[in-house]
Amino acid sequence: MNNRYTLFGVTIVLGLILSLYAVWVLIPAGATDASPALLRQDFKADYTLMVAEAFHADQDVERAMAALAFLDEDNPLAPVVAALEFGQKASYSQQDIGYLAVLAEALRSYDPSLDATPTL
Amino acid sequence: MIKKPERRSPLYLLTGLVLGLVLGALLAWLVLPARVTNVSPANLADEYKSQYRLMVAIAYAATGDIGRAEARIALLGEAAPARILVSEAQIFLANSETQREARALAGLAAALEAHQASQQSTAVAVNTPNPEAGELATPYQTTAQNARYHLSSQELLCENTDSPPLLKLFIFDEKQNAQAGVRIGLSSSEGVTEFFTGAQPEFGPGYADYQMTPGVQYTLSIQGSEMMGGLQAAACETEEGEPAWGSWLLLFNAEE
Repeated sequence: MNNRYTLFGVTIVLGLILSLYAVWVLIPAGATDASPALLRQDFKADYTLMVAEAFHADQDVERAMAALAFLDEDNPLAPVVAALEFGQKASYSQQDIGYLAVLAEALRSYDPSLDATPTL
Repeated sequence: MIKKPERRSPLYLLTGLVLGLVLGALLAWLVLPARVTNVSPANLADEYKSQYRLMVAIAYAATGDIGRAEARIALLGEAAPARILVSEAQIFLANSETQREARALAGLAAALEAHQASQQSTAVAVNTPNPEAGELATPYQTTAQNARYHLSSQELLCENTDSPPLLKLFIFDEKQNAQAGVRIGLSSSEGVTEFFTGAQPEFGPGYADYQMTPGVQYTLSIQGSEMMGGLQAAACETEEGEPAWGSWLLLFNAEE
């Protein structure tokens, strides 16, 4: 009789583990309906680089800020600073680092209060 | 007297497993839902994918780096990215304030198609022993000579006071692919003019335009079939209230 209870308990635990693995790992909720804030850091950095490339061509700070709002950060300077740090670690080209640095500088000049806003 | 061991059905094991699965699902979905982080652009919701695609197109328009743009678009994991770009360009084209976005999307679509076609033609050239046997690859899919078209959209765009009165045409096949090489004819009292879509790849392979002369009426034909008459330059008013020449934006689709 004890053996039967033990086996019953083991199958419940097995079912629990299988279910949790399926829901948390194989089909995580929202995985096909995610917001940009959940993008991995390298994808966020690349998106920010795109904004910096566009800014290099049109020099339109407001348009760049609107595009950075996609990443859903309170401070538009935050993703640029993060992308600069990531780019230096990930060996972005000097040109790409330059685009990001110019965008960061333009944002600081446009709104000096951005630098004072906590980014984390 | 020896008592025989009782044989019981192993169904209780299945019951335990099902109970565990149900408990686990409830726990994972309701009590401790997974917090999704570190997703890729392919996991974004559709509205965000559109914004991401637009940013790729604008960055490509700024840099001209097709390799980088292609890699970025590939992150969305879509089967026919150029077709999606063209569809989105059409949406932006309908609004006179988003012409820059439309041009960027159409330009990237054209560049992607051309890039992919050039890669395919290179592969063919490498693998074909006698290159004289085959035709040269064209960058875009050209139209069937007997395709028939219908007007799917007509709009007067009032862009700015400097714009000349243009006739802007976009031609698509029945599957919404932009079509290059479609013969457009415009007849008027000034004579007959013929031109083809795809001559300005920065606007997409299915694009062609023509500067109209004010006061002249034109009859438009596609692949030799008359489509519409009485087309003429139209005056309009910009958002600032200034008089300007409008541009007719006409979208044609091939009939199935």
